[in-house]
Amino acid sequence: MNEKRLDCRGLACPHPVIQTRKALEDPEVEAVVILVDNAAARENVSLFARNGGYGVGVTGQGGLWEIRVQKKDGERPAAPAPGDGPVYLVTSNQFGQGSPELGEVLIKSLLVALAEDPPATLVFLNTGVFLAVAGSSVLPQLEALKDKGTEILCCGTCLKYYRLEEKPALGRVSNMLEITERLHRSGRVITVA
Amino acid sequence: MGPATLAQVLRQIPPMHDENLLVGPGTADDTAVYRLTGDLALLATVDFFTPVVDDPYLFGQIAAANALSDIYAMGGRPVFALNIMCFPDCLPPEVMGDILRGGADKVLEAGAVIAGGHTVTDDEPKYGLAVTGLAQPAGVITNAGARPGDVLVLTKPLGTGVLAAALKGDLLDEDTINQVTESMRTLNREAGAAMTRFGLKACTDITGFGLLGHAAEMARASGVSLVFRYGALPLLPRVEEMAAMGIIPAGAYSNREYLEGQVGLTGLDQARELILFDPQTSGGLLTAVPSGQAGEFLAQLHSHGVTEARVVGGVVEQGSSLITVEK
Repeated sequence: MNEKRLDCRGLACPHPVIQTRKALEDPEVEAVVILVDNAAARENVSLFARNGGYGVGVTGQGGLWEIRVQKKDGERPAAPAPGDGPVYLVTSNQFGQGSPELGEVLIKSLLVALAEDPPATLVFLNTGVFLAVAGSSVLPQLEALKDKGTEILCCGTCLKYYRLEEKPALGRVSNMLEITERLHRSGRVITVA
Repeated sequence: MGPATLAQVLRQIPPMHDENLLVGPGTADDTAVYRLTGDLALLATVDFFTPVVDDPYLFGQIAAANALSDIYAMGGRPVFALNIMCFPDCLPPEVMGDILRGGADKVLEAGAVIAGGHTVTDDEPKYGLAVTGLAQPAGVITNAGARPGDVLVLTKPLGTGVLAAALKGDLLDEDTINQVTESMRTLNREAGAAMTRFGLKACTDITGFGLLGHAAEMARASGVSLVFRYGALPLLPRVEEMAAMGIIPAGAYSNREYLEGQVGLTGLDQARELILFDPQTSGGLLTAVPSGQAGEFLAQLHSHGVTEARVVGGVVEQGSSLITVEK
């Protein structure tokens, strides 16, 4: 069990939550134990963990508490906390209407540009999924975005429909429920069609 | 300071009497009101705090709008203000200049003047103003004038405490930051003027004790109970999202604790509940409006640029709960 401990004594909002969130972003970490010394921090970290879909346990008393935040086994990793950046909904493998050749050039330069300011999530839908499978010309750009923390989701129904391999080359197969959840939670959704 | 501690400390101050002191500390109102002549009263208030934003000029504007708000909440017009500044030696003096310039610009916008001030060396900057205003004694709007049947109008969206914390955690986009700072630096002047035109009798401004903390003061002072509808409350963008993520300032918890047992809440999750207690910086005015005037009052607010004003609840006879919040 890979467990990370955080000492958040003496820290006021928002720092205990921000530190907890950062620790959970590490895919190697399975649980984070946070030491806090004020009730507001205890409540805030618990609220963050519950609403983020983690397991939460609080022990302690008398002004000192340990909060154990556990990633749940076998489940998808926690959704990135909203507010990190926009969600790009990519519904086509070309950017804009017109020449398909130009559309492909444009989508490539869009992904190159995005690496400068990575979005929270890229969602590939319909022919957009062609961008994330083997043979796509933009895999290096997607790889770079993924390294910078961008979540990449591919519509499973779309992959199946176009008879693409079961697994995208990058990112992960997703469903409409998760996709709509991402769109609803994000303050900014940008559609690339 | 939290309301519980404050109440404890203030109990030790001996009661004082002066027949011209029309509003004193007894009713936890926004300003003191002192009658000078039969048709003129002096309003006095002081408010200062640590920076809520990084930009010193903006902080000065927000602190001044916040201090001036108390005068508007009482139906007065500000006439002059004194600066109060705590400032560390380690920061460049230009920062202090920018804060004071922001404050001065707001005071000018309010039609008042800066008449002086006082500076103290301190580890952390703090800024605010002591503001003096004037009103006719009969036109003073206290927190004791709410009557059953009135509707409650709130003139600014809630959530500055949550969003200021989110800002410190670098969680906000530029658009949201602009909206929250714009809201905080906006004077409550238009809302105050509209209350005077309508001859309203009850108001308080929403600041550090949160919506329900200040509403409770109004309910107590007026001898009534208040009912709010959560869904009707104007909120700044992303407040619910940030609160659900656990970005809630400690003040919201102490404000809630102080009113434990006196507030009936139904069907709200923890994050939404705490938004009701979120400490506000330069928040809006909460005023009680006779129901027949409410529509016209709201229309006038909107046409004078107070576009976020909403009817958020109503005043009822005093019941077992000081405040009830419906979903």
